[in-house]
Amino acid sequence: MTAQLAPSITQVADQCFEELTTHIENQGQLTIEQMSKMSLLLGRNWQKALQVVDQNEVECYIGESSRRHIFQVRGKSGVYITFAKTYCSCQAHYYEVVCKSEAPYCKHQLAARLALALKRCPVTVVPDTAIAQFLLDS
Amino acid sequence: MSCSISLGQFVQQPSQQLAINALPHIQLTTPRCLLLGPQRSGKTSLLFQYAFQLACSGQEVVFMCDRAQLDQAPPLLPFGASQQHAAFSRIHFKYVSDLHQLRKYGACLHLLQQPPAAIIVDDVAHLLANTRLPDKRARDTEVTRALAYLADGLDQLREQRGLSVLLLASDTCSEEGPHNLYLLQRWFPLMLQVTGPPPHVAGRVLTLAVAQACKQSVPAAAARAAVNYTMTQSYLNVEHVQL
Repeated sequence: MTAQLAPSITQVADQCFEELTTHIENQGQLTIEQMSKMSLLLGRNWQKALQVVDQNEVECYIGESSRRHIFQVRGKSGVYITFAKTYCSCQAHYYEVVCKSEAPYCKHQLAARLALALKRCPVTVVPDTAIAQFLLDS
Repeated sequence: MSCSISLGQFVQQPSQQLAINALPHIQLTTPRCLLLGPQRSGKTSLLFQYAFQLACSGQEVVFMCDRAQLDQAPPLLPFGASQQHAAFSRIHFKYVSDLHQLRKYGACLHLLQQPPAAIIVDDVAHLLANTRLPDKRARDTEVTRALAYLADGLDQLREQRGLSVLLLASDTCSEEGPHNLYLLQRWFPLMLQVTGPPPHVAGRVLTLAVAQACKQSVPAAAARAAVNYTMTQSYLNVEHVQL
């Protein structure tokens, strides 16, 4: 018998994002119902993420051989390195996500996932060493 | 090649492995595990035991640690293993002195042509202590960033190249518990804890079990399982498996 735990908000958010991504691949756009669901689940970070995507502030870089990808998201204080599901170099990620666990993701992470799903961010193939340099320079 | 870390991989004898592996599997199949324990509780020796187990099965392992610390307190050999054992040639030591160097390794993981089967990081707390940073926020940020780069690099090796690289790390905690648990537990779904008497106690027996912070996420039987070790002058020996 395995332990049965209630899913965490992060797991629920991931599930909703997968459904959302599948829908976008099939239909090409979001529905109002999906927008409402994500807004209810993720709160103000979802609203802010939509603004970030609308302002075309997300860029994706992918290593040409390794296919390791990272996101760069422009913010108020500069450009943040973002791993869509696990990390962002912004302060909000540290305080809200890591320290206080108030949110599963910061707005930059949500914007990165959404922009990629909606094809609203340029995807640039770069040498693998460039990916390492991006990470080391951040 | 194993795709997850479990308590059974810390014992040598097949009968003991079978006993632990017969327990209900933990809910999480995770390639990442954290080993917690106070200072001088045998964590490095247990990490080395794990590395030796993998190396004996023909897999390459990268063992990341501070060289000065390793020279001061080298790990005990697994019981019955000689220093000339062929498996040791598959354990590759990579010396890092602080979290900056750990982060650099994580940033460059995707450049490896032949990644190892496992990466072992000895004592995150020690690497943090060696990292010169002005305040707690900066220290917490660096811990998060280093582990994020490492985890992301390993995740993308799995997603893009189908390679499952295990990550086993250790962290020194005080008697009250690990100080940075809230930072570490987001990267390590499985946490094991080493407990036992202080080093000066003769014939001391260490116990390796699922950490208290993790017990809710594993079945009760698995949460009760433990491995008892003794440490002689040169060897780490599995004495008993509690089920």
